[in-house]
Amino acid sequence: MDSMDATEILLIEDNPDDVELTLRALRKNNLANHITVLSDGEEALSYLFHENSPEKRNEPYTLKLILLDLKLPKVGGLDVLKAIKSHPFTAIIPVVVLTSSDLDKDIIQSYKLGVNSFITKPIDFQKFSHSIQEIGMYWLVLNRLPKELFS
Amino acid sequence: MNMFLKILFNIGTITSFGVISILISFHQKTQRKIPAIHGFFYGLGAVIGMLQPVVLKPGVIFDGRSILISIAGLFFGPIAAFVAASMAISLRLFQGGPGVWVGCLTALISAIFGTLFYVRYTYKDKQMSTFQIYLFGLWVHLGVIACFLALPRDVVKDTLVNIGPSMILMYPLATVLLGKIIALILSKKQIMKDLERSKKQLEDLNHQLDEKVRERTKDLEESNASLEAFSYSVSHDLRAPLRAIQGFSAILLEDYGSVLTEEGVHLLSIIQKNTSKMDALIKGILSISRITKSKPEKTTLKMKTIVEQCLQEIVPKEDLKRIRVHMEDLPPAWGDPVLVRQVWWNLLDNAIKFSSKKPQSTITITGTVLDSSVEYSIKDNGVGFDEAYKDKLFNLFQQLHSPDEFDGTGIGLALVKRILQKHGGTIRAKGSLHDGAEFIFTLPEE
Repeated sequence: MDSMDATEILLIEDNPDDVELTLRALRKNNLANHITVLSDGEEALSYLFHENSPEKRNEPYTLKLILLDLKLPKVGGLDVLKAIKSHPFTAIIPVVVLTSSDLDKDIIQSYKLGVNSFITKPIDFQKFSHSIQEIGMYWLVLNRLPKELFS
Repeated sequence: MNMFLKILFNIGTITSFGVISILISFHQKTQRKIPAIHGFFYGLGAVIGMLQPVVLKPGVIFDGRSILISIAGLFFGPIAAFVAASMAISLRLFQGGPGVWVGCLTALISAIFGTLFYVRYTYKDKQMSTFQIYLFGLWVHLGVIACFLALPRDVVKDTLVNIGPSMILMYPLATVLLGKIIALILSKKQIMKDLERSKKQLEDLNHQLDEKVRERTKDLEESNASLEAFSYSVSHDLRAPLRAIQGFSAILLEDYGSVLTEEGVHLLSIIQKNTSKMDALIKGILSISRITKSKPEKTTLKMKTIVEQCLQEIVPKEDLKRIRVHMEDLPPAWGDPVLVRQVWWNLLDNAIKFSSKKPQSTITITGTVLDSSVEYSIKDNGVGFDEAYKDKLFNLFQQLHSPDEFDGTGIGLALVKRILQKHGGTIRAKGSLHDGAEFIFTLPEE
């Protein structure tokens, strides 16, 4: 498959305003080319494990980063995180929780489930944009993943 | 005299068997519930005593059966009395002789007297004094002596002379002896029973208390959980729209700033400023609810270091010369490092903020060791406050200055007070308008 079209970032976020702000921040930093947006936990699970799962597509994941909100309709963010980190095909994909919550409970729970990073969305757009830029630069540019996740 | 000694020995025999009967009959587990069993043992004691009687004439015999039968009646009621009496009567009938009917009558009279006094005292749960037991013994044996009148004529006088005085003298005393023993055992049993009952009551009370504590704990847990759910939704749901307002107005400014008038840009910046303030308020409320829930983890704190670190963060570089801090060596405190740091941070930030309009800010920080606590004071030369409002200072969202004058959320001092309360400490403020403020807080010693 042509890696030009393959999804590199998966954004799982239910609030359309937050989606737009995130996309804008990514776009500003030229990181929004290969992004797929899903708006609830159920969709995320079916995207990752059914329709598009590597077994069905018979090809490896191209995902380099999953941006995950915690408060999602249907299946919550922590459950999605748990599913991702406990399935051998997806466990290796970096997951960054990007949420409004800064409750210790959520942070601890996320790390226990194996999250790679936990970011509280700043209210200030400049700061928010800056955070998104740093996340993108770090995980997509600086961070190393194996060339083929599953071969 | 010979007869007196014989009667004395007979009483000795009967009382010792009586004591044995008492001990054996009390040994049963059912205690007073089966009077017939008591009656049987007292009857047995009487029967054994009757085998060694004082013989006045063949067939005219005397012994202490009246004592045991009457006592059985007195303490254990009619059934016990008549069981004992019928055992004695059976033996007496078997022994025969001219005194047989009177012998049976004395046993019957003893049982009747015992029953009468049982109704008068034991049944009503009345304790008998030693003297009352003695009088009881006297009545029983007056009755017995009255029965002697029914003996064959030739022995009546002899009996009244030889047996009567000794009987009246000694039998009531023997009755007292045995009665006292029984009364003692009974009262001991009563005490044990009461003790058992209070123990049971105590256990019940404890149980109720446990139950109550469990209920309260459950209520508390529930309200805690709903508080947590509330702060979660505050932290999550209230912030999302705020971020949208802030974000999109920022985008508006970014993308269309060039086509907006100066007024338009100004209005957008007001929106942004207010969203930031709202964010600060939400954060403040969350930190207050967090403190309310949390338990301080205390260690020894180097207060001077904490103050120095806070000042480094708070004092703007350009103000370093304008702000003068006087600080003595502060005594160490006992508290949660994060929370106590928040106390200093807020108080120092206030001191610097409210003295920022003076050409020279002077902040004085002192610490004193008191009896069981350590007291710290932080004093500035800022705008101060009206003493009339000093109690309101620590209320949530209370601001004594307009937002035009000084930024703020009205959360800092409320937070400080709550932190100190959590530590068992106190805070108070002194000040006057335009003439500086002083905040004095204490933390208890370890």
